[in-house]
Amino acid sequence: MKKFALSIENPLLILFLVITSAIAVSTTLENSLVMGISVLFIFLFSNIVISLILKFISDKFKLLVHLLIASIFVTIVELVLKEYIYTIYTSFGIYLPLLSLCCLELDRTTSKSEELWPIIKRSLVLGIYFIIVLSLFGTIREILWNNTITVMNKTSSITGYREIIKVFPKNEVFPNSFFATPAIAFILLGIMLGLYNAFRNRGESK
Amino acid sequence: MSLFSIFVTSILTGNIVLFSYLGVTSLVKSNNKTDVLRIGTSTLLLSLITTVVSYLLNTYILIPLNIEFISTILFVLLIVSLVELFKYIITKYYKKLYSNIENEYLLLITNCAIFGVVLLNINNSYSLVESIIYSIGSSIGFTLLLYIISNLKARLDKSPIIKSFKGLPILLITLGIIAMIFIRYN
Repeated sequence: MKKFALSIENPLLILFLVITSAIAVSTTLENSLVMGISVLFIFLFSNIVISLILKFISDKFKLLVHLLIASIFVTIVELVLKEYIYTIYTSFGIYLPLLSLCCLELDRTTSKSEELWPIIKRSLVLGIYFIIVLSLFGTIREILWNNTITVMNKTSSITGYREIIKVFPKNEVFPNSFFATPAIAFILLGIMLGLYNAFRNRGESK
Repeated sequence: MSLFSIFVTSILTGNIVLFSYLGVTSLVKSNNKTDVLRIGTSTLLLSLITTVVSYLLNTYILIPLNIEFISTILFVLLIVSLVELFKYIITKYYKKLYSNIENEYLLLITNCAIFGVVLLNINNSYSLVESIIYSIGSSIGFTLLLYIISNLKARLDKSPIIKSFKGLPILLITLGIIAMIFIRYN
């Protein structure tokens, strides 16, 4: 799979670009996974449709068309989630429609190539990195505030399978509602970005 | 909830940047040369007009016809057209005041703050007066935080920090500590 090699310099920075929707929702692992799959779907298909249409649109309307196509796919995801997994739809709240504006930021990292296959490859790679990074973030955050790892709780209406793993059995520190606040989310993201930078620069001399 | 409590909550303990994560990307792009007052007043005017129009649309068109699923597309269209209109009026009549509107134009659209306020108004089912007060308060809160962060960035860049934490990571950690100051325990 050498074709899908790491062509993005900093995968954690992807998390920051979509910070509004991503961080707000990722209080549990399951929420992060569903949000990651939605972002992958929206980003991939809106990029495909945009790259096919963009030649025929004058410069003034490019931004508007881009946003409209993204919001159409967001509406599709919203309706599917509302029908099949209503609990996740209510816990996402306002952050799912905000993806239509956030995906514009994500698109700035892509190079402006005209052919279809590099765009598909790029969107898939970005989306899969996003799922991995967001799941990691959601796991750490969930261990901190709830002492569990929820693999599948709310989507059990589809799959009928429920798995919640309790991490530290007898503990008085960890189930702590202070760690669910947004303050800890910002601090955790900053620490993760800094540690990733340190890991990436460890070979370079001063 | 009384109007005054909505106003104070939207600035301090329910700040849209620190507690609803809206508008962080435009906060990070600022530096100590950005005109905070200009961005603040633009956001205030735009969010005021957008909340009034979106409230009217929601109450009199979307809910009676039962087509609430189309609200995302409609509000995105509304916001982009209102920002375009704003830009057109500014470049035509007030060109001296806003010399580089092009740079901040995208900042206003991809801000997510205006769109987020509209969605929060619908979620909390505020009436017209309550949503106007909420949008004014949230714009003031956003401006306050923009002022704090744009002044802090220069100082953070000069202070001795580990090389891997310079720039974005230390800014996020600072934002988290500020959020801890504004917090309200239930």
